Amino acid sequence: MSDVIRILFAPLIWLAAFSLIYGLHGLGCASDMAKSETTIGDNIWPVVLILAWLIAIGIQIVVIIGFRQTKPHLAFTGQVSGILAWTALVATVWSLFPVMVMTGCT
Amino acid sequence: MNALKLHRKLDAIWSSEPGWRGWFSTVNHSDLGRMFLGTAFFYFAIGGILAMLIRAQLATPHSAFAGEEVYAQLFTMHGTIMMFLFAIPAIEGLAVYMIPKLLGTRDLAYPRLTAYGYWCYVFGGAMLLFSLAAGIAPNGGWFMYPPLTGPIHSPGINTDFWLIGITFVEISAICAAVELTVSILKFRAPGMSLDKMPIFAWYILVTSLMILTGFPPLILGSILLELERAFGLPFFQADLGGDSLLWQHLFWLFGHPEVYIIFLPAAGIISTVLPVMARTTLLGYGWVVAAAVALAFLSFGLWVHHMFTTGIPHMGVAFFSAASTLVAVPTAVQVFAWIGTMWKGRPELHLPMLHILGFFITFVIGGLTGVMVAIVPFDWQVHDTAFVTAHLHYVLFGGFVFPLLAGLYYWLPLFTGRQRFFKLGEIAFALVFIGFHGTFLAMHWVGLLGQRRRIYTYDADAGWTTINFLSSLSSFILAIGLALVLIDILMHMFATVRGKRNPWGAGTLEWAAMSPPPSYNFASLPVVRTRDPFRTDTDLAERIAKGEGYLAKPNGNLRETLTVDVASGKPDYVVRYSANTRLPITLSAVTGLFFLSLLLKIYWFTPVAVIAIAIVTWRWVWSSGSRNDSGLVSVAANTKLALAETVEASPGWWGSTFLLVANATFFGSLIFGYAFLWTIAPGWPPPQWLEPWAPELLAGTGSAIAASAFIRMAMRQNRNGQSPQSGCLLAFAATIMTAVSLCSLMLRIPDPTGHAYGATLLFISGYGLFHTLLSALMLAFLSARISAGFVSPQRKAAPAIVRLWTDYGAATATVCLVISHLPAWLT
Ligand code: HEM
Ligand SMILES: [Cu+2]
Repeated sequence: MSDVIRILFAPLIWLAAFSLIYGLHGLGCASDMAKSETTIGDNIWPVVLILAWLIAIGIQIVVIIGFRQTKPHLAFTGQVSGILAWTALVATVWSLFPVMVMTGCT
Repeated sequence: MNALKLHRKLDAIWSSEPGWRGWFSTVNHSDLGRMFLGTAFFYFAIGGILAMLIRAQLATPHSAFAGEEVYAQLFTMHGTIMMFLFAIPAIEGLAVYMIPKLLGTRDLAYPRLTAYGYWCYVFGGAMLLFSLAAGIAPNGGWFMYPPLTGPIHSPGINTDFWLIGITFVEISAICAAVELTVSILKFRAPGMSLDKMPIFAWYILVTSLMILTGFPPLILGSILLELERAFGLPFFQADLGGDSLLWQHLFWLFGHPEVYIIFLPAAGIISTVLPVMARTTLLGYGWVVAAAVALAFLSFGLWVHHMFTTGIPHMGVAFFSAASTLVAVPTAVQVFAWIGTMWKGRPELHLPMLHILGFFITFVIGGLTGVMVAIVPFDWQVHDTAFVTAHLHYVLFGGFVFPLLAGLYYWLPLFTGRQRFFKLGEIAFALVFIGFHGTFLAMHWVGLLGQRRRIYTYDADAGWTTINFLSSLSSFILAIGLALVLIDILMHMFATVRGKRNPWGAGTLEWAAMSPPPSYNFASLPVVRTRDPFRTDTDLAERIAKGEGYLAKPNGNLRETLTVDVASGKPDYVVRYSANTRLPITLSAVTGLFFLSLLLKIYWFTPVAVIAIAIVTWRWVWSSGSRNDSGLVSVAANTKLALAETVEASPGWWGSTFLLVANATFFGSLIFGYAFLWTIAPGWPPPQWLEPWAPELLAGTGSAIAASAFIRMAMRQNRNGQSPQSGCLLAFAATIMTAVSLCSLMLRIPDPTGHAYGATLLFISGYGLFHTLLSALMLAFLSARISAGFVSPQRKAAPAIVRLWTDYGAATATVCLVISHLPAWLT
């Protein structure tokens, strides 16, 4: 079973990070934090999103390194989970990249 | 023992009851797989007839054939039947039939569950069919958007048929998904490690996991909408704190993965059939597995792209557009693997290959129009026109029907043991191909000219008349083609001569059994050392038949198979199945009564049905296991294995784990819905929050934690040779305490019909209460089993399963209590 979990692990983290940051964005917009009336929120919320994004990228990198240092039961699992860990890293960078270039709730 | 004698002996043990009675009591996966496929194609025919009626209506302007209401029922039922009653069950049927044969084993993990799922599908489908025949079919489109489908705009029973019937059918999908997941992970031939599994099994594994996580949001949405319609709980009513966008989120959380749930198994068929047609092996097995997993995950991050026109913030649009473009990468890997495979081999143009080519051409066009629709400005242009419908059919028909036909023609010689004798199939293919492209190219075109989808009539001077007529004409060619396919298959089944074994020269295990396959599949389980064992080892079939593998000596009249370690494929333990029984059909009939009582609003009967379900389930679970310890079972010359009831990770534990994964997704969607309404819905905050009450919260969470501790204590007692009865009863008492706290919460909730907040809290506490009562029932069951002598230090499977459910009940009850008290503290 640990082999199956290893295969699913990195993409799961991507999915969690993606949903979390999308939710965080919605939450910020709903709670006035990111609305322009509060100047602090206006400055802080985009930074929070970017920080969350960087942490997610960091976790994916740690996963890749972790995978290199541990051996699964089958060489095959190593190959597949390796491909997927890189895929998840690219997905994290690409799908959440908008936090860098956009702000606001409209 | 010689091969014939072994065959007779095994067949006597494994075969279903003869004649029509066997239909109702069979638990055999080959029988049920055939029944699934037959029923699915019956619905394909119904859905196809509806499509013909739609096209007949649209063939001419101002057609008087169907009015607006009838037309709405036609397209809604066409979409619903095709998606829920044809595509998913057809895949389930094929997988149920093929997976044990591909994996070199005797049956699926839970034969009775296969039967239960099948009958739920039949009864749920019958409900929808009835509504269609009676003219009260659902009419809100296949995605059922409220407020159109809410109690105010659609007071009739039509929508209830959809919500209740589809939920019933989805039980069947969940059952099949649990079944297939555990079967693929645990029920394989000895030696078949993960990397030696036939590629089709990988796709079905991924698909099953997707069903387990994709269907719960829709089930939740359906329940919420039905509660709103039946009891006025305003989940989707904006003026009372609800939000119809919540439905769209829940629907597309299901709906987008659904497209891949249909496509991935179809791709699995291509990856299986194409290499055989090209006389080679699949290029890049590991990459293909990775691509399938990646596609599955990405498809869960795309749902919002169906909602771009609803005013989602730009940032959200950007997230989901970016994620949508990513899908191209694994899809490309997949396609390159297929092209590379053809390049590497020598493709031969047999009939399955024709359908694969049909798939390629259609799917590529569907992909291109998909990219067009994904471009946001273009989406604004064609949104809700016939262009979108046409695109959708290129993907669904191209990506599903062509591969499915390829698979059917590929495995037909295995199903029947016969060979085709006339080129009817080729003619049928040509008609289907021409008819399909004629129909839907024309629909792209009128869509660009501005014809909207779901319109029942149009003006003669709109300039669409000729194109629509061409489309309708082609659709009749398509229908004739599909009818010919059916005739061809029927002829093949009943009229042609016997063929030779393995006509395509494939390497996977299903061809090494007799064809048509016997009730037990393999007279002995082969030891697998390569990915396609039958390719090089040509006398494998004989050795299997002569009993030179595992489990060749029938043990009394027991149906036995073995499981393997998930990764390495080393033999793990022996499983004994129950024999033919009518319990599954009884249970699904009782389940049907439950749904009927909701549909017909006979609510006093609902609790009766629930109790009946509990009683039948109790009998079902009670009938397995034994009261004596038994030793190891000999499975081969010098290998002995333990029995399933002596391990903690028994099949029941595995199945419970994956069922709980689905359940947790349901719960997660519920919490998402709560948070969504709280933050996004316009009518918040509610007039009044729940009054926090510490004693209730503490008693509830404390007893939940205690229940988990006590069931562990029971397991420890059992391990040490003491009676686990006291731990079990203490856990039961703690669970009752949790239930009391949740009841107290339920009674204090602000008016659930007055605001979505109260309605949501009612649902959340109801969910918690249901699961604690379920834990209580299981603990009571365990206690009864202990008294009856079914549990011993050696026979420890049951307590481990109950622990899983108790933990889940305790965890969800805690979360329910905490999140109910949370808002009042935060604000
Ligand atoms: C057999 C050939 C088929 C034909 C001729 C056909 C024709 C049509 C037409 C004309 C519509 C549009 C109705 C309208 O918007 O006014 C439609 C809708 C639809 N079709 Fe098909 N179809 C076929 C097969 C399929 C298959 C195989 C599937 C799925 C696996 C499918 C799924 C759908 C769905 C989901 C809709 C949308 C229903 C809605 O708007 O609520 N169709 N079909
Ligand atoms: Cu989508």
